[in-house]
Amino acid sequence: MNEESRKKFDLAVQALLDSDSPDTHSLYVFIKITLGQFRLSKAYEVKDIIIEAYTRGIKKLQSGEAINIPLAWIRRTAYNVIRELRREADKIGYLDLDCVPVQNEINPLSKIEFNGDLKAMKIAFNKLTLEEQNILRLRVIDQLSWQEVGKCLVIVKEPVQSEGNLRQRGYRTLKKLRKIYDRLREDMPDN
Amino acid sequence: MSNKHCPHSQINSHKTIIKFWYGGFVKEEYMQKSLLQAYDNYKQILHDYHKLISKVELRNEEAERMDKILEQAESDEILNFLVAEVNYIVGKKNGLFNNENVYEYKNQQSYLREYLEHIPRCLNKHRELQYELRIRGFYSGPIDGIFGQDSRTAVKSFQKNSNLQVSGIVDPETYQKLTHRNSKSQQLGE
Repeated sequence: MNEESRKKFDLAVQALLDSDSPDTHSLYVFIKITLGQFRLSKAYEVKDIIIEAYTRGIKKLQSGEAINIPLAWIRRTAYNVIRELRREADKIGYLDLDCVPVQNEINPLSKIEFNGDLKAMKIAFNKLTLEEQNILRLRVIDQLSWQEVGKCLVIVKEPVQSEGNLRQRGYRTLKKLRKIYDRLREDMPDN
Repeated sequence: MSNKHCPHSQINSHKTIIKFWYGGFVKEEYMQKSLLQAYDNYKQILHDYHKLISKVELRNEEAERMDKILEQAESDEILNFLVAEVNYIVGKKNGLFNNENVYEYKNQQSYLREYLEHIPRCLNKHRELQYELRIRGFYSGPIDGIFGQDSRTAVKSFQKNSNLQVSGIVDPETYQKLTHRNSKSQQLGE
């Protein structure tokens, strides 16, 4: 088994148990929406899907394959687990007919709505401090681990910080980014 | 103006841009551009994703398109980040971050935590069951403790063969029958 890949995977799964993690919130919402889209909200819960994805992840790693971006891998695997469950349910004719969709149907102005969301995302990013932007950039663009981010920050005379502290700082930055979106979208008309 | 370089520029050649990170002359400009440009560079794929995740149901071709985007995010950290942010925005608009839902997520997290803490013990127990199924000729997969589809199918075959209720679940009766050989062998001093 690729030990580095397994360690990355375990860390990502551990982060899913952290109620402060913005990544966790996004993944939960994604799975919840997908269950609704495939009319399985009443038959399965988010945790059922995550457990199946986790099991498949361990199997994949044990077979010697690597998982590069664990969260993205878990998201796609969860999606395909739900599609498989739908196919199984189709065989026995199961359908959550009374299942209330978790989101509204897309409106005809979806492009305008998307453009508004994209604009809000960009403005929100610009409203972060330079230090906050650095953290996101180092993680997302440069794909550094929290340990590597810490070493880079020490060079610009920031104090040495534990991996846990850096992770929390990353969470705070993402939460701030999202709060800014929320404010902007409340104030911003879609057109 | 500092010209210090981040040591991690040496870690990976594709991260060469980090070499310039602490060179003050490109610092602000580069950092602001990098993610901001990503929002524009990924505009089309993000629009497709936004449209799909906002739908009540997905038709086959839409489900395939969604899978392709998710597959791309598996090897593209920037797309992975942007997809997570779109999930947040769409979830927020649809009330999926209200108190009731957040409470539900926390409950699910507690369950998951408990489940994952039990995994080492479960793995040992599952290995034992896979071993028993294998020596009886019902299972030919690895003894890895991962109780997937093959193991469940083997349990069903064993249950059918033993005149037990066929469920694929190792209930107490199935467990007793499966592990019976051990206790008998031990009694016989084998």
